[in-house]
Amino acid sequence: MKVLTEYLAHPESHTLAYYESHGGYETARKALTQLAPADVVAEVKASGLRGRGGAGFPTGMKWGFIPQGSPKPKYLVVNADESEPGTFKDRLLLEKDPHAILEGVIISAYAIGAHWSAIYIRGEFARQHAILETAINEAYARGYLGKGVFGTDYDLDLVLHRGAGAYICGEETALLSSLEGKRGYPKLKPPFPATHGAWESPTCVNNVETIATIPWILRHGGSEYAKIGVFVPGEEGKPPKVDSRGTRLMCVSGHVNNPGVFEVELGTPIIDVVEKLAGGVWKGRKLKAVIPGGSSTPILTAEEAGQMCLTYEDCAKFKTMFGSGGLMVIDEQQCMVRLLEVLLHFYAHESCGQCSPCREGTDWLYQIVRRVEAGRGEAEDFKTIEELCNNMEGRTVCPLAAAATMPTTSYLAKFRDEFLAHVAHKGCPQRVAATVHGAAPAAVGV
Amino acid sequence: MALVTIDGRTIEVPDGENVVQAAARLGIEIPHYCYHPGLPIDGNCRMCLCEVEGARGPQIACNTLLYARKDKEGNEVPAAVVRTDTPAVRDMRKGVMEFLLLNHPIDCPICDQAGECGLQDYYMRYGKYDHRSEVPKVEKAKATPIGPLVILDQERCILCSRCVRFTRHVTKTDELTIAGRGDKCRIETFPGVELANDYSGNVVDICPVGALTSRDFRFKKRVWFLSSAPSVCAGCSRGCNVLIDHHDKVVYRYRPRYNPAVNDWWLCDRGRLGYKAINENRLAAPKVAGVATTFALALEQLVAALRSSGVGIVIGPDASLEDMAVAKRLAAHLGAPLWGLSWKEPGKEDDFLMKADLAPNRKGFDLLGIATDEASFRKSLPGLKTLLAIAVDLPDDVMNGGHVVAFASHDSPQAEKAAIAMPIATHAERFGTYANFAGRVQRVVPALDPPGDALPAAQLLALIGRQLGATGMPIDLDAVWAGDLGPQLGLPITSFYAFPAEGLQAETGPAPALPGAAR
Repeated sequence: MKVLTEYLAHPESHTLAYYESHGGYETARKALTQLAPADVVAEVKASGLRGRGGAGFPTGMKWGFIPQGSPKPKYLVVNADESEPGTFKDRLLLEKDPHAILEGVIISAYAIGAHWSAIYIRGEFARQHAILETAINEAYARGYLGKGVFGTDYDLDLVLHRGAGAYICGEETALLSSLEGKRGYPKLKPPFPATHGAWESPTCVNNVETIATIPWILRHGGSEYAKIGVFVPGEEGKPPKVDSRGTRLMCVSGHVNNPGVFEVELGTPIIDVVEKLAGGVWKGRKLKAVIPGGSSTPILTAEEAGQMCLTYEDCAKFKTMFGSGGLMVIDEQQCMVRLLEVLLHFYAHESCGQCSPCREGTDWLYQIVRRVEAGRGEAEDFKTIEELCNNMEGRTVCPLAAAATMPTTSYLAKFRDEFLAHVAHKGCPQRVAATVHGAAPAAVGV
Repeated sequence: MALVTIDGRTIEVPDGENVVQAAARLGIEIPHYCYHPGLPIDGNCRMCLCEVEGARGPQIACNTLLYARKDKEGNEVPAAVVRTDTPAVRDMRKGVMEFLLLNHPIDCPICDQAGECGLQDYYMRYGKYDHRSEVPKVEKAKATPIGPLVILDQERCILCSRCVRFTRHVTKTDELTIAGRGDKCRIETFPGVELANDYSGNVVDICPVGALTSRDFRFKKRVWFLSSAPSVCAGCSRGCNVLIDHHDKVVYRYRPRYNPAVNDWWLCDRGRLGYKAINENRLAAPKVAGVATTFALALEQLVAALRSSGVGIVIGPDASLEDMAVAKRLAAHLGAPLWGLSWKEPGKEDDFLMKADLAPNRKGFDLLGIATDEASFRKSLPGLKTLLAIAVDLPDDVMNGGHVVAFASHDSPQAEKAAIAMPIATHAERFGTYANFAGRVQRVVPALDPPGDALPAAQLLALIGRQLGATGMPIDLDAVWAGDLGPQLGLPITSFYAFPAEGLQAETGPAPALPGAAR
């Protein structure tokens, strides 16, 4: 089932001409001329679409939080600051299908009553920025954006805002700070962006993939989308047991033969994605571990990955998260301590420094793990790491600290032997063995 | 009004108050660094983490705002049920302390903040963990002057951002920012900008650690030697509330004292440096014809001079209300004319605290009905044989033209030229009250003893009055208030010692709101 990637194979997929050739912008035109905003929201609620940025919050419900009676202007902001290591799905959409994003923006902004919207694009996405800018200019020229969209009396402006290269600006409130022209600091919640977002006004922040899915839902109906994926209703008056509908773009990277972005129906077993779509683990090696949803999600052992399907509920069952769909495959020869060191370096570098536990804690964790990796670790260190993680997680302004501690605690829990071996061998056992036997050091790291 | 339950005790607080303030009403301290009632809430230090019933995980008390809440039956229920003293909360505080001190240099022995440092205080109260980090501390810039009054040590900074928010929201001058990311974050001034606004000294007061220290005060005195007296700045007619910090007969600094009706938490730099005048060039002994003499001799001559006819009295706006009240009684006894005048040049005025009128009590002339007409003073001048000048610097032509006897706090040219100069106390060395430009009457208490023979002007005037045979000269402050000031100002003060700390509004209409103050 293809919702997002059906037309992407065409070399001209990013052009307005090609997009319109397969019915592009017709859905938005229909929505604006024939549907009331509340109908659009109802359709999206019926689809069961959940946010694809990481948290998996139901999109229709999020739109419903925008106070319609507020005298303040309402804003729609698209989060295109895709920075989670291992994630590159939004990049694909920005490059190959910018008009689908714009059509999604028109429909979504109409639904929440916004007349000003912005796409906050990651600073490093220079090429994608250029493509999107061209697309926006085309849409403006055609009257799809600006005053009187599609000849209706609905006005919508769209601003493309380029970030300056900070992971934290992918967090929705930090993104809004940055958009406002301030330092990219996450804001305190409450109040939430739905009521006090950009410039203290009601703001809805949606991920690129979420927005790009909207035209399909409006075109085929929310009930059609709801048929894709897995849905198991709960008992009378209870929430559904499984609510993972639609498709997701999975970004498969790491030690596979055929890395890339694959659109999969929710409910697909992870192992199918790795084996069938991504061509299996490379060099005939065995699977050691899988990071299911971007570097901040807790890791899965090969055994766990083998039992798990791509649903929000399975992720919860295995105490990990679907995250942003960045599926990283790790083969049997990798050193998990080294992997954690690399990840922690990233989080220490990307901590914005606003609140104390994250500012100080991320670097401290990194320094300890680096020391363990270098062979100067002690058994005491693991107790310290666990206590630090406990002191950081859930005590900060935003989830960045948790993004560092969740992998840390999961690596430590699931691959504790490797960490202990680093202490016992005073270094990475693989490297130590290689040196002792005079062989070339084994490839380590990701 | 909202209800809140903190550690099992329920109280009512105004809507919108946060849990830190609400807890303080119950006498419960919730430790905090970044929160300051005069600045917007930032929530970055995480020191005030508490348990709030029904919340997902620990919550910061500073951003837990309380609003009236009702249950389904319409009964008022607590807006929050907070626990601040559980083992979990104590662990959280300890954990946060450990993070804050991770990169903090332990240079307390050479740090000027030692003794009034938030890190020292909270470590002893909430920290006390065993050090376990071998990570080398991040090195940043030390001892960097960032403005005429302020010096920055980036390593000691805990990045609470109070100073940044102060320059952004209170002075709106935006000199400071946080640069860098993660543990490389540091406070910096913007390129080419220095922290030179008129209120820069406040960042030193609000800095909870030794990152921002005063270039004027640092290394002069360890703070634990200092004693503080609540007083009022005499630098202009605003009358900002201050604490006078002093030790061994020397004043070392002013610190602002909270008064929502006058200055909130703040003090201007001009006023802040005003303390220096108290220490310098004081007149300690009376002078007759420019030569120091004994108090008894000078007093005898002064009384003799005032006993003859043709006496006029001029009192300056630096004198307290008590001085003015007793001067009025003396003038009435002598049948002498009394003017309230000054020839001080006006200073800078802005729309926040600073007033152009550099005298603390000019409003007192209005309130007590003292003539301020210079023309009539000039007209009467030739007919006067003796002019008694109380706490006022006379212009040279007046000084040279007549037989002037002066009450002076400082050894000024005036004290030199006057026929008789009597030393008097400044506002830092006496009890007294001053009325600011808006008619707010505020009390000072002595921080130190007056130098040498100096007395408060009111006391000296009463002494002279009694020697001249005047009746009704007050014997103490209560007598001044009961007999003169209370009735004349319409203030219900029966004892000076019961004077409220935040002052009283004399009947001149409501006090104007503070412009430009952060609320």
